[in-house]
Amino acid sequence: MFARFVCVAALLLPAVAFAQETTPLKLGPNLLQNGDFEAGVENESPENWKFSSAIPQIFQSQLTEEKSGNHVLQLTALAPQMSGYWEQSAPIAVKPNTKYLARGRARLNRGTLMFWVLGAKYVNDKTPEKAVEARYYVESLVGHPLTPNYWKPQWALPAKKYGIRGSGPLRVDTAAPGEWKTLELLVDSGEATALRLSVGAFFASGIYTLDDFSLQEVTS
Amino acid sequence: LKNYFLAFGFASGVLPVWRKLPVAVAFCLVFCGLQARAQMRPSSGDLPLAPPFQLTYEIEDGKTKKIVAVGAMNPKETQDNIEIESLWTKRGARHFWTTRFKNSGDVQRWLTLRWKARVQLSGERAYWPGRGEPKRAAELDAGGKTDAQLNTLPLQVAFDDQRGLALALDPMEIFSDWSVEWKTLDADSGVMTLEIPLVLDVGQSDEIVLEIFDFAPRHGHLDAVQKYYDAHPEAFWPRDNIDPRISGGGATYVVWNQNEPELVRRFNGDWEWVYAPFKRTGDIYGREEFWNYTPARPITDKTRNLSREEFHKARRERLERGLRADTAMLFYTPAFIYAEEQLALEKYPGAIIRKPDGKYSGYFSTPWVTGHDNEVLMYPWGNDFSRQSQRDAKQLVEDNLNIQGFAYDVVTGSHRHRGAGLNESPRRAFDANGVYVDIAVGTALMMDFTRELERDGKKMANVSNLSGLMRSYEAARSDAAMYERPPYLNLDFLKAHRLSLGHKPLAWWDDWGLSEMLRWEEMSGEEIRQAYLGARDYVLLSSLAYGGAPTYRLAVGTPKLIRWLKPIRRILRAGWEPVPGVLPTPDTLWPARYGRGLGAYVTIGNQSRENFKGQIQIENDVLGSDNYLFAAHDGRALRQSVSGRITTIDVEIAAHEPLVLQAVARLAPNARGAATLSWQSDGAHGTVKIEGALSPLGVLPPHGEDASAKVVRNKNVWSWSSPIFASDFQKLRAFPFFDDKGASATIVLPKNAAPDEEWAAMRLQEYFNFWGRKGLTPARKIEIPIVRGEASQTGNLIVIGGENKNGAPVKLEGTRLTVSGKTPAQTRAATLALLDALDEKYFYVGQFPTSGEDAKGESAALKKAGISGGILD
Repeated sequence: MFARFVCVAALLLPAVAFAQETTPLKLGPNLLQNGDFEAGVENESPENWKFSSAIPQIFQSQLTEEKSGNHVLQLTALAPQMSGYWEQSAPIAVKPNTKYLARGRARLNRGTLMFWVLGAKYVNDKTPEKAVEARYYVESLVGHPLTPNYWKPQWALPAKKYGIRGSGPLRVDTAAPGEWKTLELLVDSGEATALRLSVGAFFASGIYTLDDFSLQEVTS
Repeated sequence: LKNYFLAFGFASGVLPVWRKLPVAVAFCLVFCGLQARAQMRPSSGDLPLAPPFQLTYEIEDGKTKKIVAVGAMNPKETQDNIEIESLWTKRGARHFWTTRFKNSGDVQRWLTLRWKARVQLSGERAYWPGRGEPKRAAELDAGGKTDAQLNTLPLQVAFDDQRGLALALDPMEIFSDWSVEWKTLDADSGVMTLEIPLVLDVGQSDEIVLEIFDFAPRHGHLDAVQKYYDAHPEAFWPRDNIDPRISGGGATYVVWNQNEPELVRRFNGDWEWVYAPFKRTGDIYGREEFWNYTPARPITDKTRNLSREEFHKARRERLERGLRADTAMLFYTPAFIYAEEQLALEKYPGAIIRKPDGKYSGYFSTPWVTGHDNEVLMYPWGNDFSRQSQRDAKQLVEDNLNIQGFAYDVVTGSHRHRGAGLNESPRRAFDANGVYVDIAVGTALMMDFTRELERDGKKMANVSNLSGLMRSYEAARSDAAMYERPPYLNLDFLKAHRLSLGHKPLAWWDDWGLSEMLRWEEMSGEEIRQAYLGARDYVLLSSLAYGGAPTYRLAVGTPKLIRWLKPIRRILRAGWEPVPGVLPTPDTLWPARYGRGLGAYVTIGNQSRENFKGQIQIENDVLGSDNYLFAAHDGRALRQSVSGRITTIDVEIAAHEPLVLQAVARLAPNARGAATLSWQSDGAHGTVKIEGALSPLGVLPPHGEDASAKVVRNKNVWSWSSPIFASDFQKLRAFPFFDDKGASATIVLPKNAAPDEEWAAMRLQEYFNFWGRKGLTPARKIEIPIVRGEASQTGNLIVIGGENKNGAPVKLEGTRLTVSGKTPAQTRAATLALLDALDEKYFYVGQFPTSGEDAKGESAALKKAGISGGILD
């Protein structure tokens, strides 16, 4: 547990190719650093993570300790005017034309979360050329007109329509208040030599609790 | 100096002597050249947001982006060739800051006008920009502009726990655009800004009136909305010189397409959206010169393939379906903003709204209005297209077609027009591409035109289909509106539309459409059925909360909704109010209010899956000047106590059910005590019983009982006799209208029956004809004969019309049922009341839809649930 911190970083860059499978996969080691937020704080951020938003002042973040003793990252979006995302401090080097599984867990008290995998062929580790992307939106059902008073939450489809840049499909899901949602995106790196993982608030106020993020090569 | 005295003179007229000094000081500051932030400071006594709030304005040149004028309550002065004059007046509790601008230079000016009010607030501060929810805390401090789209009211308010200040424009005022904004200055203060872009030609002037008032935010921003409504009845009530059926329910094409008057009556089809009664979009009259053309697709509708003369005859006859059905017919137009593409290009090319790149701003190349035309978006004012539209609308009315108003489809805004009609339109604005006028300006002016057309002594009504881009001044010109969705879709839209319409009713004008919200493919049939039942209950409760009426499309096949249709219509006619007047309740209770004073309704919907048992506290000072006792819709005894201005009622509300309370007993405002109120009625006679120490000053027959009935008190019982029914409903329902063989009664009319009496006989006959065809299984023919002249008739007689100077019109004596008012019109009205009374016995449900959002699989979902074509109960 430690104090709140807010940081500003460059806006995320566009786009990655994407595929999705549901069969059991053999996976390599986790390529993310401090994906479970247990490593502590560095420059007022969880180690190896940075925060980006065009209006950072409407966001607050803190590491909190759950009853289990594990730490989670809690992002609070105070206003819906802008999105704001946590991502690994540096793009993660990957092999081209290789499948990777990006995973994490999130809990929303309301609002809309976006889990975003962005891949690019990086020149000098900075400039994306041909970009592809994959997105996973999770809508809280708080404020839904029919759940929970008239419908069971699991009956409801997401209300919003979401777009995606690039060629990848997207996943959209709902979450009941307090429900831990598992986020999974299977990505084909295509021509990308690096991937960036982002997760955060998509133009909606709320408290977004995040934990256990990983990026693993699919070995078979 | 002269200007100083002029300005001070304005203020002197409205301010008491002891307040003149600060005003004089303020003006001195202005006059001494402190232009940058000279400010008018009405005292805390005038607008109690003390310590002072400050009003200023500034003008930015739209081309150079430089501030060219700043000031406050300036006297008449000229800055950068703009003459500016301010006037401060007060009417009642409202203050008005009138600013007059004149372009005294020699070039057209593009001006961004900004009015700013710096307010000081404490405690929990909030700001409401005219739509959505109030912004508080970090969301407030984040700021951001709110534009005029989505029916945003031109009303912004800032408030804390104790005080609030509202800045508004007149809701009827037309502007191409405006925006509002809050900026937090520090922990205690912030600035509300109203910004209007305006173009002034050389020598042109304009006058903009800012309305300012304070309010006590007991219910947050809604108290300001309530005050705003009260100050502008012309914008927020349906007009009283139009057909009163406009305040009823929508017929959803049952009249226009099915011609089934009984179905219309049973589902509250008071007004009809007469869809596309023309051959060619943009030629709504059907002119000779526009008749023959080659449409984009073949004309499949057989009426539109008739000759022009035959088409006009067929249209006239079809519109007369409204006479049989007792439905106001609203002549459809796509808001006078679309025309068939060839017509537009050949006759009105300058009226086509184009984007800066020259492309159409709006275009339908897929079937829409007529199905066979491609339609292009037009600007509807100040050009040949508009003049033709006006001629057409006028002639439709002068031809004495059976129309009571115009249906404005796709009412919108946010399309910027720079072609023909631009310079003939008021309130032009500008952007990076030059001068424009918003389509909403032209539409509003066209709405003003049709509102003034008159037939049979009534003005034409405007009923609108609300869209997300429309402006609230278009809603203000609408007498009612459809919401082309069920009430669980697009709540942001619905809430904004609700506020912009004021007291006027909405109609839920769509099918269920649940398949786009539901994971029906993963659900069992029973789960899908439960989902529809849940949505049904939501429709009922949201109808009462949002002032919307379910139409045939949502109600058919759902007995619960059908039973509530007539009460909902009656309640909605009392006028939706923004402040419910109920002290905070659990979140799952959904309060709303309709009307004021004795007779006002307070509705409480229990959204929870659990029954509610507890107390409801009603703020009588919100309802009116008295204290009140309340009657439940179902007559149950309600124990209630009155203390101060609060009535506390012990209630039980079942899960997913509404409780409708009506203020039926008026008490002195200082009355205290407890009482139990119950009521009953058999249709002919009713009583209100009040047990307790409270002594009402007046009692009203509750919940649809005729409010004109004379109420007589006997100790603690108030009784009345119906002015319409001399016989009770149970007896009337037992009358043998038909038996197993068919009709068992005869309708008897006078030999020289009046048209209203003929109509009444037709409707009674049609009632049982419909019941035999649609209500009985198996169907059978019930054709009650109509004869003229009674002398030779025997058996069960239904005598309609004739002389009845005294007594209630509907009376059953032995085998003779009489429906006879003092006038034929009364006989007509009494017949409709009789039909309503019979509905409980001859209860028609119909079949639940078999389709809906079929692209999302709704027909399959309905089948899986086992409710397709059945009953949802």
